Amino acid sequence: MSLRLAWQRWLGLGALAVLPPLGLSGAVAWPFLLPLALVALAAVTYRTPLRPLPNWLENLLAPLILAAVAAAGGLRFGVVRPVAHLLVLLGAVRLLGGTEPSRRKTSLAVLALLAVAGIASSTHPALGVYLLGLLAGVVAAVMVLLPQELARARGTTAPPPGVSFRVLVATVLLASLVAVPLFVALPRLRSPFAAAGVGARPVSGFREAVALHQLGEIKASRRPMLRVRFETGGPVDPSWLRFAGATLTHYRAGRWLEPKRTAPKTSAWSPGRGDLGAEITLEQSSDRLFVPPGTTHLLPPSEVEPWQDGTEAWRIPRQLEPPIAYRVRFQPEAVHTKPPGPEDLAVGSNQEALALLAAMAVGEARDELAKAQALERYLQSRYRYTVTTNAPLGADPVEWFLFTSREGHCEFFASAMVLLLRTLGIPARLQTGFAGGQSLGEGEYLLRDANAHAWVLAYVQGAWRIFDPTPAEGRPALESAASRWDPRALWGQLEAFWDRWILTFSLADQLEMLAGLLRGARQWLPRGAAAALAVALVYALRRWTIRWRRQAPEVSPLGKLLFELGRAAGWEEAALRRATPSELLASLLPKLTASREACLALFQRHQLVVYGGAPPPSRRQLAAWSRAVLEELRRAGAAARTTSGRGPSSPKGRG
Amino acid sequence: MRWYEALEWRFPGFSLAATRGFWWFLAWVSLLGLAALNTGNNALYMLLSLSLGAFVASGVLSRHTLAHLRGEIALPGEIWAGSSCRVAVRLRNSSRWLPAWGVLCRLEGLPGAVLAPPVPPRGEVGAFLLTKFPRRGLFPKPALVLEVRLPLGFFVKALHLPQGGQVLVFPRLVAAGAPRFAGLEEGGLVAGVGPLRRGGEVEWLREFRAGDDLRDIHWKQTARQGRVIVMERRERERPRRYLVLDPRVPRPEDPETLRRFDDLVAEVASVARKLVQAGEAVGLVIGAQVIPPAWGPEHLRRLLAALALAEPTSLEAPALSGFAGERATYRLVATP
Repeated sequence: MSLRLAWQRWLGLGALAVLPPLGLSGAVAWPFLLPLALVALAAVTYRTPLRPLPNWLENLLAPLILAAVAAAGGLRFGVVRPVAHLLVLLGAVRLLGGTEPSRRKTSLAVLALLAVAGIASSTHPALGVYLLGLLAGVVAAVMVLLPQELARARGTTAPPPGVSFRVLVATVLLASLVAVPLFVALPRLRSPFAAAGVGARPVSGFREAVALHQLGEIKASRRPMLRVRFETGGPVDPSWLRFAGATLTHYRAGRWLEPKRTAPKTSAWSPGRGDLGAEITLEQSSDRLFVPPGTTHLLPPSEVEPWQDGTEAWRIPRQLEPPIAYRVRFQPEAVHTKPPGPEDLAVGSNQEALALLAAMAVGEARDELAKAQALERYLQSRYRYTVTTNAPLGADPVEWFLFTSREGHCEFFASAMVLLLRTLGIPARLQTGFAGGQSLGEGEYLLRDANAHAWVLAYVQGAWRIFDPTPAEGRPALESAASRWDPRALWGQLEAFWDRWILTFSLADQLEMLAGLLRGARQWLPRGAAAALAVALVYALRRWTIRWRRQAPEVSPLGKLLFELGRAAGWEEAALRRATPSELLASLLPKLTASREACLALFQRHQLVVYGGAPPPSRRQLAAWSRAVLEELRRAGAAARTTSGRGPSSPKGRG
Repeated sequence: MRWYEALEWRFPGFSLAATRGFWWFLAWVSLLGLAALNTGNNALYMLLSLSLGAFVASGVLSRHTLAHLRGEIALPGEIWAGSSCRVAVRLRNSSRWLPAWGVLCRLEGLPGAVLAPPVPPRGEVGAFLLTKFPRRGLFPKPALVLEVRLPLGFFVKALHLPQGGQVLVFPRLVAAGAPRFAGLEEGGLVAGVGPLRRGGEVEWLREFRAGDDLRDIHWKQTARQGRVIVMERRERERPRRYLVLDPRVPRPEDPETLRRFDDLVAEVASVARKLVQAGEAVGLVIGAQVIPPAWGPEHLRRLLAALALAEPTSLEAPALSGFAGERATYRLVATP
């Protein structure tokens, strides 16, 4: 395969690889992907280089491409989408004839930008696998193309193109291992250019007044927030697991606003009839206490005087160190809040459209309760739940949710229902807090960040009632401890981990980790230093041993046996190390008679093994020879000591 | 001094040069970092981290490849200045797991390179490298340079493996003109036995030896005796002829003079090769060095070695003497 064709195929594969995230994340409308997909398929499958379009045709296509991008919404949905549309169509044009060096660079740049756009728009956990696959593809392409380019430049022949699986795996593995700490360590600083007016902003809660700041992050987090122990001591009705943080009434210009603070109000502990008790522990720092909507009494943490703000939230100083334990008494079915007022019927600017939609949604329902229930069902069934949304800057978020995007998170659903109820003349409020939770047994429940939720209070039939228009997939549920190993639960945990530690990993997390590290370092520094010293010592010892072994000649078993014979014959150690085998043999032979042949055979075999490369004798043979010689030497030694009264002397002089 | 030279104690023979890919990568990472910082998008941070991780992985793996590679070269028996020669390269990979991929082999300071086939873990491969030695003379063997760019081609990392020994490069080969011989003044003929000249009468038969001309095989005797027999011919008389190179040159330090002297040496070497290969008995005189006429490859090698090492001297050096005919001497003359 020629180099040009190889380039064409890899460019085609690259184009096919960057397309899925663009389509799946919605960064690019599917019809826009079609031309690039077709050209990429042709680039991969054709056996001849694709020809570029004639210049006149490219010039003709340019305004058409711009017109198509404008027709698809232009800058209405921000910058990324139209740029991605433009790049996709440009890529389809430039990929034809992309094997020519000048067009190749353009194609590569377009594909790189498209990859960035697709990745930046993706939030699914599969993104991790996708990135690794993309890296593997890039490495494989470089492994195939680089040697060929090099061979062409150097005028030499290239080896047959191929990819080493081991090198590929090692590269991807090593890169991902390095990437993890880098991802954690790269500072999440805010750029001075951030939040520049580019036409869109992420809408993640109505930040100024709603307690749920940055809902996307909270919904992804598995950090424990509340620990609740009901005094009943057993399982409780799931509807009890609802803890309000704020009740919002004023909706102005697309925002829920906190009204002026009312006079500080505190609560005294005086249990009433029919009340249930619960002990709640805040596991994170917070500036408010979360209580059931039907709370009648609150026993705050010791030495803290909570007060209620304009959103009826029980506020406490933020600097309190968690865990913060407090107790409440509440009526499970009731909602205790201010009576309805004129502000509970206020609607935004586009009242007619809201009223029309509300009328359509309630259908033939007559009474207030039926209307509210119909609205709740309508929103649950006709709108889609999603954590991430992007609303245009100028639009009212609720109207944009209701009439344009038709998808959003719980605050959109709850806010939309509140406004729709108000158009029907039913007073309504938005309440935010935590719902659902994980049962820990014996009446104890754990609520995490992901249990953050928003719901609706509607005043129907003379009382405030709770409605939850969020579809089931976005409504925090009651998790039982037993469902933890359920594949769905596992996937949920994976998603939660992904959302919490990847998508919403922030500077605050980094600072928290850094603080933890510093604390750990202070605690573990002496032990760490001792361990490092021990490792260094072991390492040095090992290096020394290796060096010593390299220097010291290795002595074979046969050689060791000769040493043993020398020692038995009375040789001194130092003299023995300097002696040659011949000298040793010459000193041994006069002392031997019966084992003389064995001794000769032993030395002869030693010479053959050392200098002739002969195999060493078997252990049995070696044992037979050595036993015979050693026994005779010892006998001779003993006889000599008996006769002269001292040890062997003749070889001693050699030392 | 480059920064990596400070690591010579740890990575001996190691060198590093950024490729164009590295600069592209730098631009990519910078733009990606700016985009990530500007948007706070963690997916971009992931891409950035993975890009940087790939950079590190590429560095570590290429370094691993080089650290486990050993190579040696085998030079051909005859190397002529300015002519392509084929150098055998043998690569050995001591890595236990990773093959050495995309290794470019070249000789330090010489043109030509070859991309070695992948060297399997704990395996060996061979390759041939075409190169040219620019000058005649005796040189240390050039170091073998192994370059690695993969897996991602951000840097050219090179390992310089010095090769022990020396290499003798014969003078450049040129189209040999008509030889200019000089005879000794006392004259005389030399009688000798030589296998290279096919003329003359058959003197005796003997067994085939390496280097014999196949045309001299006596097929009947070979068939009869069951071993290869060749005819030994005898030249009755051969002239004692010498190629004489006068190394005295005007301005021996002048590069132009040196170049012209090299041309002269190349001409003498080419003539000597042509004659010896044709079976002539040729001697060589370079200044005071005299190589008597003889035949055969060994003699040719001796002549070429002397010519390869011939150095120009100044005009003050003693003149050649004892040769008949000044015109027959290869000599540089001063140009205006």
